Amino acid sequence: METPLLQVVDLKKYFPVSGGILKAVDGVSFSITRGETLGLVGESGCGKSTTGRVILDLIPATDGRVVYKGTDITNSVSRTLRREMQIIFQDPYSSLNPRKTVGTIVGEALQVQGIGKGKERSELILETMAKVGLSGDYYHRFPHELDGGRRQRVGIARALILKPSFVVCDEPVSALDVSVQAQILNLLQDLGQEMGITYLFISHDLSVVRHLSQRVAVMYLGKLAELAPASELFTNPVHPYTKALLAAVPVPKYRPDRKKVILRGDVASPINPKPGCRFAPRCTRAAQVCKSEDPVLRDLGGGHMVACHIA
Amino acid sequence: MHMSKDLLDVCDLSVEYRTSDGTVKAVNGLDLRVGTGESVGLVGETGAGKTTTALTILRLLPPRVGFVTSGSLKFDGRELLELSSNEMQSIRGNQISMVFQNPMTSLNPVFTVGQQIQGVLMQHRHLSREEAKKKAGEMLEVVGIPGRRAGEYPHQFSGGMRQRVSIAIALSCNPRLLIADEPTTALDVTIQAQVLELMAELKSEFSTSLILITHDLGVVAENCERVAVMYAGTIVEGADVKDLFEMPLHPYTRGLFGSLPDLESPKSRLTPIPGSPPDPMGLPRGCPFEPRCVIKEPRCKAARPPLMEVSPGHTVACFRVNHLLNRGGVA
Repeated sequence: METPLLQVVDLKKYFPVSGGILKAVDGVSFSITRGETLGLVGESGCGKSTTGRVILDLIPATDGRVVYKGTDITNSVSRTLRREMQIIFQDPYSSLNPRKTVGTIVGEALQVQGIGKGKERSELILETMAKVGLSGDYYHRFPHELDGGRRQRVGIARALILKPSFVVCDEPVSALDVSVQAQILNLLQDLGQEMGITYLFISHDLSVVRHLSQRVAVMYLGKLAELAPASELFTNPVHPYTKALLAAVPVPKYRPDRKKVILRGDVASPINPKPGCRFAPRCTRAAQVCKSEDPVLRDLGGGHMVACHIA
Repeated sequence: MHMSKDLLDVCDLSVEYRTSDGTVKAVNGLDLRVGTGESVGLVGETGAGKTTTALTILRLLPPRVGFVTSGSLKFDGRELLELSSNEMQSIRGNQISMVFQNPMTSLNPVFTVGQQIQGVLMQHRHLSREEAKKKAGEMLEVVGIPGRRAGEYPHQFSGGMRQRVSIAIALSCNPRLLIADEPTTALDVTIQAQVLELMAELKSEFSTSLILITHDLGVVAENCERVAVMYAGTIVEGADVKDLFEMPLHPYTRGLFGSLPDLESPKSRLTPIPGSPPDPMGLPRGCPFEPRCVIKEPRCKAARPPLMEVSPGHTVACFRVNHLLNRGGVA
């Protein structure tokens, strides 16, 4: 098998808070092969965004390793490496500096990296803007003059101007209406293929994740519950949480006989989590062992991994 | 199926916001009927005028900015637009109540949840403090929160629980119409399922009519009997949920379906609607969807198509409705 582009090994991110330790990411391992899109799904507070940020060294890891192209880069992403690793943020309203023009925002990375000068730089900026479907007319405009879809195109242009090989997309379409969301998803798909980008695609929206990803990882309270090829995960989910999550998604089809299995209770606090499986308090199938021992991620064959004592 | 009598009949409603930057035409000739005990989904994207419609029904438009410029709002035969503010006060929260999107901002942070339910009961049902307190505890139990938590403040509850509290407040006077504006949008999908299930149970128990405002077609498919699709302040298509999801006709409705990724049978590529919604400060004279429409004709630019009934209960505002019907494979 080809060496993966990115490997995450037992990654941990803890935050000290009043009352204890918040274990946002607590021993997550996965790898992404070159050109692949790995979807990372889960509900608010499960640690999916934190995972993306720790991988990119935007916040330091507490423990564990991030290996990129065979080199350990944990907590040490250099400026040169930053050219290859970029991020697209969720909210195109708060992630763009309101006092800078679109051209400046898109070209900022060139300035930081000292790439090009004057005309050469502005041509590269215009070329990248065209690539994401932004006309050059927007070069001197400010973010507030753009609608949500165009702002997100600015966010994408900014991330792609350095021609990165690995991009973390952190809920890139969650703030957008569906008709615009579809435009952006197609754009990410096209640019990914054209530029050979490997994506870590973080989202709470299972339909969006299934649409774009080859493999999907499901996170619950800082840990991976299940990881499998997309078609396998969505047709044959094994972890009780994945099953409940899929059952809870409202399907836009007329189906009066669809039966709902509704998950009870709320997500527990990630502060000082109890030993055992994180999902046990809400799991209908929880046994004694689930309350005492942490399940480890095991391979069921064909790359289908699950962390569950009973599945 | 249509109910014999409409509880709410909105006819040719237009609403505008007059701001220093110009006039925003938020609602433009909207027709909407809700039968007794019926649940109607109002779907549309940001800026379609869904929330403005809700606020107008409750007469909660911002004073000196929001104006109703035409139309009527009949609730149980009474014209709401002609009521005095005192008369409206006795209807709001009592016969018509509303659940908002974000329970953290719609609940008062300095009163306990029990006090907030009590307040409504004392205002409308003229209960004594003691009676109201008892009933508030019962209402919490109805929405699945232990009555002993009545003395706690909103911040002590999770997002899903807070939305349950909002529902308890809205239903405490047993309203005839509940307007829920994106009630689950701020919630995670497993919690959303709990809240929607609760709303469905309570709706059938109290036989409340429901207007469910949402951008999520899945939520509508699973929780409503009828659907009205809004675009640029007007209804472009209305139908029973079965018809709308099995035979969508309006190019905008079809565009929405083409834009949605499918969880069950993935598409290789999405078909987005080109362009963006029109600027409500400068709406086109003709069909508001014309600039983005893939089957437009010259006449679409000249005049606005009215809502036409194409089959019992299925209405579409599109000049090319015959073309749509042929393409839909319907006689």
